[in-house]
Amino acid sequence: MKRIVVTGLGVVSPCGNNAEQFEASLRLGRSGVKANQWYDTEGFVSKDIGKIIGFEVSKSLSKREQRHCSQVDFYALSVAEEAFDSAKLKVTENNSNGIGIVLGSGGAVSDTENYVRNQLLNQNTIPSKLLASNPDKAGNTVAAHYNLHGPRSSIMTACSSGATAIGYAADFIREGYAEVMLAGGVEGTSYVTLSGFNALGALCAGRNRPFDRNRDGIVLGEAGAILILESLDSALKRGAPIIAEFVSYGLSSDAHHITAPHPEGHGMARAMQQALKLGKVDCEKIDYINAHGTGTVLNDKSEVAAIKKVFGNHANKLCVSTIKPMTGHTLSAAGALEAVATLLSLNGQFAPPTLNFETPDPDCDLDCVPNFARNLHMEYAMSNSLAFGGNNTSLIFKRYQDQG
Amino acid sequence: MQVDEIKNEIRSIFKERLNMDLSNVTAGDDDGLFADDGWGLDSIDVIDIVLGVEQKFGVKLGQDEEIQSHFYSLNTLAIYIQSLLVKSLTA
Repeated sequence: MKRIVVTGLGVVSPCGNNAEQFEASLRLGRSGVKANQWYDTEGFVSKDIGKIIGFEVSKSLSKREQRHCSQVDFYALSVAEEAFDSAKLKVTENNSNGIGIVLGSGGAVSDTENYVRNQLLNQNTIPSKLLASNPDKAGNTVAAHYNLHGPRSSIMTACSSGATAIGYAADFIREGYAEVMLAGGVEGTSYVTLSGFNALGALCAGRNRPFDRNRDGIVLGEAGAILILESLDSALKRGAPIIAEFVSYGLSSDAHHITAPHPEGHGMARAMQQALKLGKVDCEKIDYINAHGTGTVLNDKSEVAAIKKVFGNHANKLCVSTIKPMTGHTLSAAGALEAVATLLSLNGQFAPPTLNFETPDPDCDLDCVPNFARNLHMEYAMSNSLAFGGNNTSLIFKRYQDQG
Repeated sequence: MQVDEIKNEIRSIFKERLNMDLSNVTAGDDDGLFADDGWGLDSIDVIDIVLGVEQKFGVKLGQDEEIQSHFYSLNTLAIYIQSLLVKSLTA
């Protein structure tokens, strides 16, 4: 099987606007969830939000490009720029046909929302902003800006989109469609999204506390995250910095419920099993799992059940943490953001903490690395994503070594 | 309405709808709206300008091919809008 490595990372998140800041937050347990001053929270259960602050639009964008960018386009372009820089990769006439992009995105909801609001208030509307409501817009914008002439695709599997996009992108390389792929996800906060999750009763009243007995829901967030995946041959040929190896991924569908996961986590378990099998990895080799860990009663319970089913006794030796109390649930971006967190953890040999943990829950009795990061030797790490509709994705990464 | 007044209104559409910083624009009234060394607009901006013009002047811009030539410069666009305003008064 063709080996694939990660050679670049880019991230904007509530707790860091580049990979370096983000890693510092993961190590320090620094949360970017803050009091929601951006939206009217009247009637919302949660008054907090994982909002990106201090974000600066890249100077490489022309005025014309900027006019046509939505909020999520700006995030996508920013993380693509960081990813290219860290991969020391320049797009040229000679390599552009072999470079593509797959992004998970739900479209620019807040730009659409602004249009409708202005229309209702009889204020000036900017109809061209509606073009960004299409989920493929952010990826198209990045491809156009960098002249990427390879495969282009958009993934929408709800909250696992960013992770699924990474798996698809890897397939493009393995199947010979591309040598290099940008893969990730973007999500921007909006009033509509907050209202929807509030109406579902999914938001938490207090702090977001995954795996805690008193957990009561999620806090929403926004982010952009992109990985540069590259065939090992291509990376070695151009002397690229190699962060880690992408091993395999697994996909499954619960086919069970529109919002709830399968109660015993059957779907998530199948995704993990598939990833392990396709990557020819014994489950005992996995040292760390970056869990989906939203902090809803149902998600965490079914996810822990799935991990126990797949890993058996080894589950008790695993570190299984979630970064969502630090970032909020970043929906379409979450799988990619957490893949970046997993790669930084693998590369830096530490497990990021699950913040806000107070009371153990017998239904979630795994080592969730409560409240403080921990040094952890690991060779293989897994990142799991579950999503509404029962869309499950599991990614496996490995520390890079010259000999496979 | 005089052509100069119409041009001022179009400039305010550029400012309000396209978020253009007019103090940074060096292009003149005869320079190309779509030229990189002119106003630097593109076909997506036209969507926003058409809506702005229709709402501000209460006229309907044509869908014919000729419309492209009217979008050449600020002057040609202003003269076209003036002709539509005259037509609507005499109709």
